[in-house]
Amino acid sequence: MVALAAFGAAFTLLVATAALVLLGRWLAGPPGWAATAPERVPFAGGLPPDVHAWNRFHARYYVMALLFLTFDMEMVYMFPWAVVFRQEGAVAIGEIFVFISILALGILYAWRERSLGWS
Amino acid sequence: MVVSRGRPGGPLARLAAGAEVPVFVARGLGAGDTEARLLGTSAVRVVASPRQATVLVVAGHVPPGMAEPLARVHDQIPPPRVTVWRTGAGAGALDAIRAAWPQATVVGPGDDVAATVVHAYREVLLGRRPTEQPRLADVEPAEWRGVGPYGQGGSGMTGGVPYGRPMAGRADDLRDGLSLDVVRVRMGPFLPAFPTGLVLAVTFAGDVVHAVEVDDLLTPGDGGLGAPLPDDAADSRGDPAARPVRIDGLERARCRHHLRWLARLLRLYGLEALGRRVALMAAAPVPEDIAHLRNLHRRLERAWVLGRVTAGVGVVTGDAAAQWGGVTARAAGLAVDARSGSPAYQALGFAPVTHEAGDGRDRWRQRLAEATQALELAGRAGDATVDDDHIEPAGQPAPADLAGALGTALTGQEWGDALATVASIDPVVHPGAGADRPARAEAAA
Repeated sequence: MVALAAFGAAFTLLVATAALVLLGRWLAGPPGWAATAPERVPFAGGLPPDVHAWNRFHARYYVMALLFLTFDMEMVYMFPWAVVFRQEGAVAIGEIFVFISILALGILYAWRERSLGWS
Repeated sequence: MVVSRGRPGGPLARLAAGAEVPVFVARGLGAGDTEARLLGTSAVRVVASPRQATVLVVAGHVPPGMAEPLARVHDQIPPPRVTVWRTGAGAGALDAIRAAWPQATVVGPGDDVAATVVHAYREVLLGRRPTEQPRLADVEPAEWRGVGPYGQGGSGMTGGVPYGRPMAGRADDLRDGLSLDVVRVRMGPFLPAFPTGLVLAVTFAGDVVHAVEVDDLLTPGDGGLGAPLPDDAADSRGDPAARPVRIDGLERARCRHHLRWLARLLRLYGLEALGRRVALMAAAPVPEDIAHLRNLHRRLERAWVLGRVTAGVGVVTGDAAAQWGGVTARAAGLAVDARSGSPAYQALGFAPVTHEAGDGRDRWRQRLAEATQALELAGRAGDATVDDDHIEPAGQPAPADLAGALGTALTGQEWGDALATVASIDPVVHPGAGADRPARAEAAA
């Protein structure tokens, strides 16, 4: 029981949230209607789609996605650095700035090469 | 996103009844000032999709080809829903609508459409008026046939016709020639960014426009409903009783037309408060409003976001601009204007306003400058008149080859930019706009 007491706050929050959601649903009442086939069609100005939506297209933002991954991994390196930088002092600060500068140069290069556009 | 406003008459619905009214405007032929009136009413919010709306406002005449799209837009409004139809008073138009759409509220050109909309919305949310039933039958376009490993209707990834709809075809990408799926989608005729009645069959490669065709749903015939509203922003060329045409009336109508266009454009860019202000100005501009227009121009130039999102978008210059003529040509630096040759206009010191870049930004600058100039001319004109040959239409006339002109302007653009381009050119589409397609197909064969 003592071990579970630590979760008391989380449990209260869970129950309170569920109660709020149920209250909202009760206030709104049942929708009383189901969408018809014409209603389910995506809105394109009133005409139904001619072609099925299942299609393949080129994910041209993949360069952007790779850049995102690069900076995501940078954060992974910063966690151990954050643990030791007080012991290491100014040297650690200098090293992390060198590291981030190299990455920043990379993103400037990607910008110049127009890799940050969506398509 | 489907917005729930709760059970009619329930506590949430009672709260929602006091909120601003979400309205989707379906513009038929001769929609007049309906949309501008609604845009200028603070109790009403004109929304971009029927999914967000509760009230459907239909304005003017809906030809038979647009009847089914209108019914689909109606059904796409989640219940509770109501319809308000504003029509001109021509030949039993009101009775015909009441017979075909018995659930709709029909108002004439003289009635206050905004007040009717607010009233109908409150009534339906408070449960005093039943929600409208769907107008189209609840059937899929074709039966589902669960064939294939993923239920896609055929064998292989791109086989079959699930729900009667074929899978995407393939085409070489415009950018790098990679052969990938292209999807053909027919857009319009009730897309808010589109001019009245425009239907584009757009072929998409990803989110980029690969090809554009124009379809025609405007052909008159049996089964059309409603009558066009009297339009005080149209030029009076079609009216033989209004001869000779007075310049001051003509130029004030031009100002109204441009301001209504601008109000819609600002709404499209999400600048609702500015759009509302412009819609109010568009109601009855008088020469004393010139200072307000100049203020508005300065304010829009300072609206950094508007300049940024419209600059360089939908550039139409040179031969393409000459093909369009009208406002689009003048925004690209071509001083083509029927008024230039008129002695009456020359006596007023008229010289066409032009801009250089021919992009979305210069087109709104052009329209705003022309609206200001129109008020100046109206103030100086006195009772001067102009003959038919020298009337410059206020709206952008559609070129003979509308499909070709739109194809040149839109191909290769992302869909958002393509929409903004169509909205900023805003051609006046006439019946038969897609009629050149068979002719071109023959020429190609």
